[in-house]
Amino acid sequence: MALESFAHSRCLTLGIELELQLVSTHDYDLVGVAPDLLRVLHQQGFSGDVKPEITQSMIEVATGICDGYADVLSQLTALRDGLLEGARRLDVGICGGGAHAFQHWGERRISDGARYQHLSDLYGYLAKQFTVFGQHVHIGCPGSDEALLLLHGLSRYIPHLIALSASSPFVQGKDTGFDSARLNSIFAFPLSGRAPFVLSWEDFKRYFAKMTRTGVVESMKDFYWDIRPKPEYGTIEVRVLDTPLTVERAAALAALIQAVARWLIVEKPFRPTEDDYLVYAFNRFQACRFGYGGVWVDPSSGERGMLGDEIVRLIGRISHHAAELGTAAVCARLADDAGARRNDAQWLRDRQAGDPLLPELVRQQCLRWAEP
Amino acid sequence: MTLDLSFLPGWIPPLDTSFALALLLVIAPLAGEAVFRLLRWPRIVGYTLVGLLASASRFDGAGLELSEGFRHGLEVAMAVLLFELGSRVNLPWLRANPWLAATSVAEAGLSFSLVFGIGHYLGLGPGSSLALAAVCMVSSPVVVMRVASEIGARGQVTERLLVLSALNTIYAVVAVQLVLGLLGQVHGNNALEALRPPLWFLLNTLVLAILLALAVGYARRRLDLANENSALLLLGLIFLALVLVRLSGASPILVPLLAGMLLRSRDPRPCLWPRHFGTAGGALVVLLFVANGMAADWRLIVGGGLAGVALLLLRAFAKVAGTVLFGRRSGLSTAQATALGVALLPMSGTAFLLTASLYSAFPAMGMKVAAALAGAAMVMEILGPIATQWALSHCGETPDGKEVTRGA
Repeated sequence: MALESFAHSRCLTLGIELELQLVSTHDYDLVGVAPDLLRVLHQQGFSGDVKPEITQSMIEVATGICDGYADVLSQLTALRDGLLEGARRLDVGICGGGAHAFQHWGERRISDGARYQHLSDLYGYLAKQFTVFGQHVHIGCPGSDEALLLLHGLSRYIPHLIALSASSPFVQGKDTGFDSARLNSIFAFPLSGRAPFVLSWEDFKRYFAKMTRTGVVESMKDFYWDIRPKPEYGTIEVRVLDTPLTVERAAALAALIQAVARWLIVEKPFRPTEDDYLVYAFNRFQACRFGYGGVWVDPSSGERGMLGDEIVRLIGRISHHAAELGTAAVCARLADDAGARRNDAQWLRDRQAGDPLLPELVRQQCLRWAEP
Repeated sequence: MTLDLSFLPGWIPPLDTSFALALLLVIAPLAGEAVFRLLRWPRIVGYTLVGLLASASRFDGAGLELSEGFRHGLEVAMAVLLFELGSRVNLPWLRANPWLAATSVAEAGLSFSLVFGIGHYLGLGPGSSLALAAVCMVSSPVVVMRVASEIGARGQVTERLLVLSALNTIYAVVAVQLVLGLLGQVHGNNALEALRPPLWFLLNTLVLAILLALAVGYARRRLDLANENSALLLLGLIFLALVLVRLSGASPILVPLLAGMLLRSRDPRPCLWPRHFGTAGGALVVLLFVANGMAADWRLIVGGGLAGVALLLLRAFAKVAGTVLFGRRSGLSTAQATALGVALLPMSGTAFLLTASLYSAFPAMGMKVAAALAGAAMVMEILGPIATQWALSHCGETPDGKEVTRGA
């Protein structure tokens, strides 16, 4: 299958996808009610974009094309409220968070549908372990070459986004020590990681043609990269974020990505190079493992800093662009969080320290998600 | 045969029946495992079959199932399951989804009406027909709870099954009390007098349920109930509550059930404890199902045979029709709603306990009801758990793969 051509999209528009957890209100373990929820949502005339995911205890919602933060937040809020109405009719809980705190992967059930069954056959237990929950942010790009330039420019700030969004410290009933343990489930896939360093769409098409010839991939969907181009939308898609615990934070993270993208597109502060990726895996691991406390190595200068401080610095540098987009206050709040070392992973750990019962923690997550 | 078994807890029956008890405790788990491995049926079918065979072979000549201590032990087992069930019922769900409440009324109401009709048609008389109809509303909460937890079922049908079973049990207990009150009226008292005993009974029940819920709530704020030792404390609390139930004449069915529901609604923190409160509760539950089998009297079954079959078919129709009627509006697919109706079929332990209370109040009528009921109940003791298991796994609510067992 040839790669489709890169569609037109308005520069810096946003589209958000959130993968959410469906839990029982009895024991707060995951429960496979996605087909029921979809049916009930249909009955109640829910007009939002909602899809099943690989296992039946996951559901994905997506906004339409948004201009900016306010638009994202209002669309996400409407999606959330619609989902909650359906969930109440089924007496199930919905929550954010990158991973469920104590579910056992072996109890998951793969969703119906040829693609999911194929993935399950191909990846075996990895498919069930893929029951993790992320936020994907699409950014509209003026053209295909610009998209690749933006993709590789944004790559060095992937650790920043990981630390800000991290919300998966607990996995299979234990504190992993990671702020984002979710990404460990994704790194297990052979086609995860980063996109190849090519800066022109012609080169990218050649790469894709070579990959399809090997039979390893059939479509862009088979790449599980941290950022990948989405030619049919004319966007690049940032996929490293854990689903936050609230829609407000999800919208704020999208606003930050938009502001950074504007900075990269308008100012072109540096020229991405292949060597940027020498430190990529190291930086990303540090962010997953230690969050704000991780080390971040500047790919250009080789200088080391603490990621929390680097986030504050980055948001300072882009504040002008955030102001242009009307999100200066939103981005400043994220900088405050980074300065104070606050993220959702920390919130979860604090709550769990107060009450060690993990089902109670998941209940708290559900309450937080439903907060108006 | 006389052995010294004084080291056993007090509720173990008199010495001449203890051999029977020990033998049953060895055979029942073996039979449960055999049934599970060979036929993939719920283990409780095996326990019940052992009881039925014991009853058929007049194995229990000493009258094990009639001995008071033994019955008290079984009441604890039942109370444990009812309490577990109660703690699964989230009452605000009925407000959020009124069609679920409608489903409950429909399936219980249809069962009641149709069974009353057939009772009347068979010439049982209004009192007996009412009693029979009340008893047939119940989807044995004990069987439903046990099967759902044994196969690790999770999902919409399972949750609704538990809620509907808890609700129809409540309807039935209240209805039986009202029937008893009304029959009292027939025997010469005025209407106000007739309503006094049931109201008194319900008040006692409510007070005890609140006390039990408070005690368990207090314990779980201080202890980790997932731990086996704390679970034993729960068992003790339930035992204690049942003693008070006997002293005050409250309902041994409603007290634990309502206590579980109150606990759930008062404190939203998840209620999690070992299944059946650990191994002690588990052993009692095994005996409960054996005793259910033993309670079936073959003479009654022969007497009420054909009526029993008719009863069974009508009741099955009522349950399935009741759940399908509002199924889609309540958010289920038609296939799920049908499965829910099938899963609601079990009737056994509770039915017998209810008949027992009728029987002790009005022996002549209790006997008639029991005859019609016994045939149906015996068949359903075997078919009921199988129906529930089939329904839950048919709509995809049991874990994938061959391994159906899951630990507590």
